[in-house]
Amino acid sequence: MDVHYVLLTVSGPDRPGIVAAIAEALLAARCNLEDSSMTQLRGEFAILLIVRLGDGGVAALEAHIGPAARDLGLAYALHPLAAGEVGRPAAAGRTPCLITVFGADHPGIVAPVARFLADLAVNITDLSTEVVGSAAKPVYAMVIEARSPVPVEELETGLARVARDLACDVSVKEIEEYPL
Amino acid sequence: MAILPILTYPDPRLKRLAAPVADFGPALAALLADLAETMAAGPGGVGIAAPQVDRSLCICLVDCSKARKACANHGLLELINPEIVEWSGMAVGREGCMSIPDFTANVVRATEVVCQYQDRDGKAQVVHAEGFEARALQHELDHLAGTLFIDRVVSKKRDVFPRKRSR
Repeated sequence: MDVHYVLLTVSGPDRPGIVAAIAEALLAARCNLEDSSMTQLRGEFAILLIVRLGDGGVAALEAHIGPAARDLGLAYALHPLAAGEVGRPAAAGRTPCLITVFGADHPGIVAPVARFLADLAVNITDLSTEVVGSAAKPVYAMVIEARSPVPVEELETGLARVARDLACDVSVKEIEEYPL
Repeated sequence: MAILPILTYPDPRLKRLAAPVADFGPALAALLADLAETMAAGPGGVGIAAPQVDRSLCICLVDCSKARKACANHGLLELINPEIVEWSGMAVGREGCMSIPDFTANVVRATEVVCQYQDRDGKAQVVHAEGFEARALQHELDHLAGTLFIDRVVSKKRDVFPRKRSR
């Protein structure tokens, strides 16, 4: 396999300077930081990114990422990708939509919602969850961005049924994109 | 008529302040025709501003009758030396732009605007637009001031999630 790209994941206890250290290590390895998603989850910081490798390849990347991660107490993993694996998926014929689910926190909210979407071949493109509210009354909040091959009304009807069983509030709205 | 090449970010010409139009002669009519054809050939097909085709002039076209979803509109608007004189309401919408291909992001815009402009004959006109047409007007007029929607991004994706709090 001709490796040009790697999926790099980095995570560990949050503190200022993680992004700077990782980005500097990538730069020193002559790698290019392409699409990325980085976020704070409670006290942890998690990085997911696609890296285009420099001339030194994976070896150069590891030589620089290793010490940087060690210094900050971070775990990392590299997954090589073939050039053909990093294209953008076609979005044609799919409606972008935003699905929100809110409710009293209890186990088993994400699974049935995600299963319902999966069975309709809805593609989740972004998902975030957070437990909010007070310790005595925790509230589960989930926001999903997805591309749906079925009409939004159909998602709404089906998700309303799922939400009823979960005693959650669900909303589905089409994300209108305005190409100007 | 011709489809003109679209300047794309980060071309510095997109950041220039456009000059007011003083000459309402045949050259203007020709440019309006080219702009209409270029707009129609674009992925959105509902708006274009002269600076996007490297004509640094205060001209833009908006045609929300061509919007993918039906909306209140005034058909083809040829806006010369336009100026928004009233704004009201606020809404977030995910915009894209021919000059920034493959990127969309959330932008806050007024939901209603009143825009004064001159038509192709130089006659003063006023249009009161709302909804998508108001958004399109604000987006296109921004180009005349060298402003792109990426200068106004409020969030790339979601905007309903509670902000992270520091505890």
